[in-house]
Amino acid sequence: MKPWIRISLGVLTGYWIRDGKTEQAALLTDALAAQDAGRDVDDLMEAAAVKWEAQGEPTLEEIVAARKAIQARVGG
Amino acid sequence: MRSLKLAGLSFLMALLCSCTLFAGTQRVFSLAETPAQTAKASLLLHNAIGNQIAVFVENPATSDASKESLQRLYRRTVCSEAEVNVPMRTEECGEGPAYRADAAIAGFEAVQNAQTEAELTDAMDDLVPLLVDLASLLNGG
Repeated sequence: MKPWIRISLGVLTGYWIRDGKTEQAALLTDALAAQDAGRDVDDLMEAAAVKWEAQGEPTLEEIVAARKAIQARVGG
Repeated sequence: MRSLKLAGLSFLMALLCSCTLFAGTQRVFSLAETPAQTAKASLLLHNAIGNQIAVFVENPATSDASKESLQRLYRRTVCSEAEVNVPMRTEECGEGPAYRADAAIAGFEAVQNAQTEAELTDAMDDLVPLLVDLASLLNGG
């Protein structure tokens, strides 16, 4: 997302918060964060690719252990 | 308000799903040469997305609506239908789609690594029901 768009959306979020439209502001904040999330997910996959090339394919045990830790963090 | 929530959540998931086009994700899948490795690559992506969902949930700035939706969404990937419907913590789930994929991978690897005909027969006997189960799952069963 171009910086000026992000800044504009940030300003809009600020106006919404000022006007009490906190739910809309929160959702927009989430959507902006999701953009960063997409890049963060790919960074994790890049790290996984590097590890795969260096050490061979991951074992099921490693994958499941990581998943269990994530399940605990996500909660619910 | 409901449509705004849905729009926000749809946008969120679209961005997360778009990561399949990114270089790192493509690189992992390019390393997979066998069906078991491709399935492992999918599980690595599932873990990466799950990690990001955890980051969102842990962030106090995330709206409660998005937090709950993301938790429900992730829960369905690791909990079976039976586990989803009981008061069981997501942490305790172990029979959902991701775990069924584990079993299928283990089955494929057992077939690949079988040294004798008996081992191969046993591995195939274990694998076929898993594949049927997965096919049923994909068809909404």
